Amino acid sequence: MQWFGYAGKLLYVNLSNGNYEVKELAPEQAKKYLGGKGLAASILYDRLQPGQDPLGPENLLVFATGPLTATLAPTSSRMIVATKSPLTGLWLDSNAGGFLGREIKFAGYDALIVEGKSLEPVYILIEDDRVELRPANNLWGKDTFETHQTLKELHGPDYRVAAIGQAGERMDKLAAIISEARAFGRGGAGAVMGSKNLKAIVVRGTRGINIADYQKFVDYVKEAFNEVAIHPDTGGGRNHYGTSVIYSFINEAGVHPVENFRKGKFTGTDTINEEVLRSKYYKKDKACSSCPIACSKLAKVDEGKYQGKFTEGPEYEDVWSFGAQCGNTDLGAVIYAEYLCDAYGLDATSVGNVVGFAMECFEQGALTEEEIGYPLRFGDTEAMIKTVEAICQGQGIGKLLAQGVRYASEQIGKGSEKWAMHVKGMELPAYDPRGAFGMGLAYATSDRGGCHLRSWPIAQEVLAANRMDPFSVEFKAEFIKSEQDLIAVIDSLGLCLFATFALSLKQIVGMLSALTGIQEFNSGEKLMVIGERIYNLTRLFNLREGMAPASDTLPERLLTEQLAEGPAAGQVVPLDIMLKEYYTIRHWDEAGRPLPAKLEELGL
Amino acid sequence: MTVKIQVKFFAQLAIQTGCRSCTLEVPNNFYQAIEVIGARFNLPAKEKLGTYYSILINGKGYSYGLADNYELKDEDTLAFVPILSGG
Ligand code: SF4
Repeated sequence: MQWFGYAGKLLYVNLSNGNYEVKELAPEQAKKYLGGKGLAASILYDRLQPGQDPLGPENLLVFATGPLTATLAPTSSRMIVATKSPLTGLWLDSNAGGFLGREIKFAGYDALIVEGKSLEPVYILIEDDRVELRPANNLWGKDTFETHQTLKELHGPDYRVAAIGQAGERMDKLAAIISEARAFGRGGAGAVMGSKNLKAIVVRGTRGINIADYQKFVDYVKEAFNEVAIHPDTGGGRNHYGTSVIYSFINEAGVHPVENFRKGKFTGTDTINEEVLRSKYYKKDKACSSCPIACSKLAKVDEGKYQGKFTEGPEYEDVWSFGAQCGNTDLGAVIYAEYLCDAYGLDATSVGNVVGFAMECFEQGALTEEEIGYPLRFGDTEAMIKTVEAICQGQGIGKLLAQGVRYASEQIGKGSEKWAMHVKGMELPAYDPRGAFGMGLAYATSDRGGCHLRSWPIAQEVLAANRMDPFSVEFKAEFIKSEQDLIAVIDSLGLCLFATFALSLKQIVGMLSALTGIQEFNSGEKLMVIGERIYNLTRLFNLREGMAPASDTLPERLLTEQLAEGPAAGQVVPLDIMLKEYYTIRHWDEAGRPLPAKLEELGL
Repeated sequence: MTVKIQVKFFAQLAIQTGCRSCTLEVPNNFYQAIEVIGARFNLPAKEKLGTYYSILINGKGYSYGLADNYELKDEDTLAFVPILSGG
């Protein structure tokens, strides 16, 4: 079959026996699940037996692109890594831009599926049709920067690399996969890679992509570029400030969590805000492939204790996690902490969250100075950095904290479970849902746990034309459900979520139809059904793995403790009402299981 | 009647207006107040409310669709926020 947009092939690499196999992408699979997240969900659901150890050889690691990945469409750099998460024990898809997705597609594959476990450290080398396992003993123990450098020196600068650092090698549950400074960060995919003795993948592709209706596609792409350029966010603020464009107003709205979600407003904004980042630290703008927005930044510290430290970023989430979450007001320290996480291969959002948790444990007496080695109070920047270093090096208290906040709190005990800010084991990011109730429902029902990237109602509750009252439950269930379905589509196409601030679904449909020529993709309604199918499939995956429906919840603090100050003062999240409505709208039963009629309707 | 309020501009609006935060005396009627602020900072305040930017009143973003006679109080904060919205 002639494929347009898709490469039409799936590459299976078995690390246990060193074999690989190229299989055809089934047209029905593409039509039903699009690509990216949807494709990976169908592969994992079919091939991974339930109940497997996420760090065992049976777990699969799927690197999947979408039909739009590597095309001219704006922000079409994206791809996902999917697996069973060692952090949550549930479904995980982690999305990143950069250049890896483009290279995999150009090498001729829609997805790379890694199975088994190598006896010795290896890396996978892909050059179009040529696929090899190469020894990686000399790379084991190296950080991600050194690993990238060594592999690029060996193979050439055009080869794209994704690698784990020492955290992944140790199988720490917060370990990330880093690809040229972009992170498949959340949920511990780096630990799965480490469990397979897989240090890196190196890809070079030289093929092109067929386009069904070239002229139409180019016309839609031009229109999309124009929309992105004229939108105040994608055409202005996001390029100038990076993802921290939202920093000050999130705090102004009382949604920026402070000191492990204990306070409603951060007072350190004189030294930490988007303006200071831009004027003092950003040295260069960077973009993922095919992206006119260029929200990526290269930041460097020019003076002070952290002089000379640099990072690509820091992203808004990490300015929070190493800022307000730890009570730190030094942006230099934020940049250094993020650098450490990138180098050792860790999820910076979760690492900052768990450091804030440890600070609360210390202040409440659940962790002592003897256990930590030093006092660990909120606002103590040096102690924060020491703890990040300990996590990165897997030493002392860091060894425990690197397994995530849920596991750490279970081990520490002494009531610390109620300070562990996670959903289903994944650490919460940088939004306090007591200031935007919809965000609470989005966290509780996210298919990978505490995450803001399955639905981000903040835009509608706080920042947009205020279409939804942040302190009302009205419309929240409906909105979250439809945004989750939409984002499942975007994550399956290979587009960046930021593009959706500017692009309508109609424009996306236009590009996709002209690119692929597939009738099943020619309307927004059809794509939304696919999105709903994908979200139900990841739900089925989680239920099959034994997820208790009661875990569709929030940390007790957000349900019962009122904030004393800020715009959200006096609020707690009325989750039950929204959750009940959400299950009804999704056609899930009271225990959150999709009803047979819904599954039948979706062809599942 | 006039009131003294704090006015904040965030992200690209701070660049556009050359101001991040200041205290201003404005009419207590919300819509008149934003016209005065718009004129002062050369911002098409009323026309672009809800399409180019939103406003948080004391951190709460209900400003869009307020009653015409909504009254500001002394020491209120109006934060001008560039808009974000899904397509
Ligand atoms: S908007 Fe930012 S993250 Fe998204 S593709 Fe562009 S540079 Fe990458």
